[in-house]
Amino acid sequence: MADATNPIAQFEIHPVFPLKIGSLDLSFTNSSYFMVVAVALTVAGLMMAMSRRALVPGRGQSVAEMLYEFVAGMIRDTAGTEGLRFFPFVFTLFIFILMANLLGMFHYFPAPGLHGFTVTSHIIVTFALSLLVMAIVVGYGIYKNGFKFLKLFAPSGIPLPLYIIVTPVEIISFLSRPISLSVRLFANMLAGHILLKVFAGFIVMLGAAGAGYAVIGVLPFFMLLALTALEFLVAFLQAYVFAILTCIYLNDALHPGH
Amino acid sequence: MTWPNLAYTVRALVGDPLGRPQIAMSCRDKPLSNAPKDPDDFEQRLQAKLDARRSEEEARNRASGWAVGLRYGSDFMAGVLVGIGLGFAFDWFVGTAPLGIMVGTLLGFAAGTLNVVRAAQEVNAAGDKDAESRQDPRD
Repeated sequence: MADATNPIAQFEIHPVFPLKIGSLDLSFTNSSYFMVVAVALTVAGLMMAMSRRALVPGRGQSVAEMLYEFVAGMIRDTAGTEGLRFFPFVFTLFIFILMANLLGMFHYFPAPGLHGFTVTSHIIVTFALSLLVMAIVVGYGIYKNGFKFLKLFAPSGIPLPLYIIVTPVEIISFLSRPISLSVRLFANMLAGHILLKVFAGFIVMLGAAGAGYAVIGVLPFFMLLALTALEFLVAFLQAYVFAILTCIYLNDALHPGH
Repeated sequence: MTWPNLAYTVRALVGDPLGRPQIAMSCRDKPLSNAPKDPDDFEQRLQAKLDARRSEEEARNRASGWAVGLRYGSDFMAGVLVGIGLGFAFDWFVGTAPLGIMVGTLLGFAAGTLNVVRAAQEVNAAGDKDAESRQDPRD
């Protein structure tokens, strides 16, 4: 009973294949399991959709082409045509986060323990993703622009003494990007899933409380229904926001100094 | 710039030799071409359909104020946190406590504000782009 209504229990990590090397715990956990499932489903789905390669696309192919057009349009709008060289990266990132978010919407899932798990509700995952983005931005920015990449921290057109203040502010602003990028995705998924579980818990508790209370249990049920729809929107929206901000940061690497 | 458009621009800039009234030089007033509008024209009907659909989509997207708010909030918070963290680390290594954390916090607030301003600019730019694409994409 306590576990059934505990809103945090869904985020627990259980090892599936325990593996310890020295003092390092490298177990294959339910989090890893869901990441593998997300990747496998994406690859299998896209391969199946594109296996026909018809001139007039069928249903599956239409979805795959729409995804392609969507991400390509997003990159072209924010980072220009040059940004399209990052298309594979942005597309992978977008589809992985979207798939992980959507898999998290399953309450029960053919997984060890039979319960669903949201990979992106753990900050270590989202932070690793945003650090990857930042590493690519810094790495490519320096590779392409060399020393000029540092212009990002010294915007032109301000009086000389102001650089003492502006440069640290710009550096802090740059360093805060991976944090805000990861916290936003993680907080949205965590808060949404806790909220769902809390309202679901109300139904269980009211149902268990007795005959009169069970009738009121309909109210949190409708709330839950609305929240589930909202969560599907959030799952897509946050993947979109993560991808579009990646594009905006990549634009900085392509054209520093604005 | 297409040819009829060029003639139009010249007329707007220099005035009309026949003394017709001056044309306002705004993007919105520019006609698609000098040809009269045919209501049965396929492109006209397509454009009307697209416009209707776009405004519909826009009305649906406006509900994402929650996402915009969260974006501003997390951007601001991240700036302040990084500022405090850098100040604290500086104190730790150089031993200037509490000066580092004080300056770091102030700079962090500035960076957070900068983040929010940038985010707002991006949101506005996205809005402008929508407004632009609502006009005819062909010219």
